[in-house]
Amino acid sequence: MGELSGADRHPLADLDKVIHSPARLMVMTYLYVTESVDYVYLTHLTGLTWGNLATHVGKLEEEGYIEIEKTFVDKKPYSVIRLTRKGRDAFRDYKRQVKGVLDQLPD
Amino acid sequence: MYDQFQKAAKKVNALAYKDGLVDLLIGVFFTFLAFQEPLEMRGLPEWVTYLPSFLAMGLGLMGYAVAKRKLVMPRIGRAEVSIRRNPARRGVFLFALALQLVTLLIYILASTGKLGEWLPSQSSWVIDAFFALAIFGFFAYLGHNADAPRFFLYGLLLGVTVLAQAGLRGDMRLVAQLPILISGLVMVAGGVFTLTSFLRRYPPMDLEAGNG
Repeated sequence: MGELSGADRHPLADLDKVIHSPARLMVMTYLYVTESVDYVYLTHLTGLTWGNLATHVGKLEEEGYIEIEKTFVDKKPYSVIRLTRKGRDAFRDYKRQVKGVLDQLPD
Repeated sequence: MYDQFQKAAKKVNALAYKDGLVDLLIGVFFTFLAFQEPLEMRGLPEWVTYLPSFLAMGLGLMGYAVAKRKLVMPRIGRAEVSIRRNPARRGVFLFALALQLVTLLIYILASTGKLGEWLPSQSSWVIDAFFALAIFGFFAYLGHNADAPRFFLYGLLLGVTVLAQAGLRGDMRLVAQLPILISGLVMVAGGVFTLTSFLRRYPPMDLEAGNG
């Protein structure tokens, strides 16, 4: 079977796979409603372990959806994470796509 | 979907109020405010009578900033939240703004004598009731948006304080300070209790491990 294209493709098939993972979706949601958060705050909000969070944050950074500002606080490394313009737009598109599909479903 | 954003925004705010520092700050301000009237009765200039409250507030703000950095940040980190991005915080801001505008309007109307023309003198309780309800509403709304039910209690206490102060004017001026003192002390106690629970619940995290 060949891959469907154009109008035949289900709208959900075009969802942004980087955002669509539950953990990354969670991270993006919290970043969407804040200006910036640090790693510790994000760990508490999401309930993810640092290792797990670092992996997902790394993936989002790789995609250019977030930026990590590394500084020092009391001589210790300190990172602040924020959504980039690209990330905010991508998240808005994702939201629109999912909402469009879910709104069409019968109750 | 919007509901999910509201929930996320609320969770961000809730974490910010978990340390009880805001309770302490507001509580200290109101506790000192209770001494304004006794100082005024001693014949001190009005601005001097407000000095202890504002000094306490100023010192409190400095203490708040230090505590946030030294006690809270190593435990739960920090989020920068703005009313532009956070719908829950925007709601609280708009509520406070509307309240200030109405208060300003009432003040202008009262100072120009217009309020007296519209409202019979025996109906001044309407204004007191409005302020009591508005203060309760603000704290209740803040508590709702920060998932902090203790703010409902603070709102109730301050609302009752406004009504009690209105009812105890005249010869009872000194007694009228008791409700505000009690409200302030309850908030300070609430802050101390919340801060103690917070310090116990959230041990300091190794910032280096998480931020490297």
